[in-house]
Amino acid sequence: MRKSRNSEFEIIKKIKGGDTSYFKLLVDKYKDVSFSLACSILKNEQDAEDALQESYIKAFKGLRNFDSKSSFTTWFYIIVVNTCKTRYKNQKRNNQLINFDSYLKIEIIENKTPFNEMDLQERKVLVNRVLETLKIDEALLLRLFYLAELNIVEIKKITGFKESKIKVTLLRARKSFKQNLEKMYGFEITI
Amino acid sequence: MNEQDIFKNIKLGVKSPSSDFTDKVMGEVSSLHNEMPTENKWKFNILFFACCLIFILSVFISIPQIQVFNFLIGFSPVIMPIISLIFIFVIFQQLYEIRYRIKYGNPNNVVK
Repeated sequence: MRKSRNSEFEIIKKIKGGDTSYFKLLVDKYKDVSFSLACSILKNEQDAEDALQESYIKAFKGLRNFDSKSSFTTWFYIIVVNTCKTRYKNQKRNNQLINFDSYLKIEIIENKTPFNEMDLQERKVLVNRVLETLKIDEALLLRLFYLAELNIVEIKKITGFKESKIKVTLLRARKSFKQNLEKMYGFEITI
Repeated sequence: MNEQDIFKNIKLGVKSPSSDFTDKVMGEVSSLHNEMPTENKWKFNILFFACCLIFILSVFISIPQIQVFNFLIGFSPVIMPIISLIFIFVIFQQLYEIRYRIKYGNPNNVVK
């Protein structure tokens, strides 16, 4: 972990020195997790991709002011979450937001294969459809906690939520995830 | 379904942006990187022109004579160009420092 952080600082140092090609390493490293986080907020892949692109540009511009003593991961996820939230608010203000009722409907999948024996791609699709049914905060916190593997203190920095709110929302999110997964799958999941 | 299963499933559900996403970002980054020096060059040219103007004006404008009690103090016509050159030197020194900071970041942030 420490080694990876040091190599990240070396990459940032090189970018600051003018070698922008090193920025590709940062893009490749964080694009999947941060894209998933953006999808949690915007619930639309095209918007999420645009927001993520904007976030990377902001990060590149702000890199010269980045304090190397702090974590790049947390700093970058703050940019992603804030950019997505701003976009979400703008879309809401301009009434361009898609009606999320369609996402909230839980469609039961006709599948008799046991959950743990399902094809990985099928399971991935199912998990993402379940995450889309969750509230924005719930999906975001689940992904920050389990996907980005951040602790409560880091999540607090990124979202600006209180520690108690994070814990309660995470608890509720886990419950909703399990319930919605079972509803969508059709019957109780035993792994 | 326990916490470990939720962890596995959410890890499995990681999404990826389109295949050309990295190229798009790097394209934007490189064009941004190329834009920065051009913008600075433009600003530098304006400032250089302003400094030249100050220097030329300083040649024609001289400090008027000052009367202190019974003494009349006069200044050499060279004084104003010298003052303007010192002024220009200070400005360029500051500009160089700012340019250095923009290019390499805050010196306090250098990785040890």
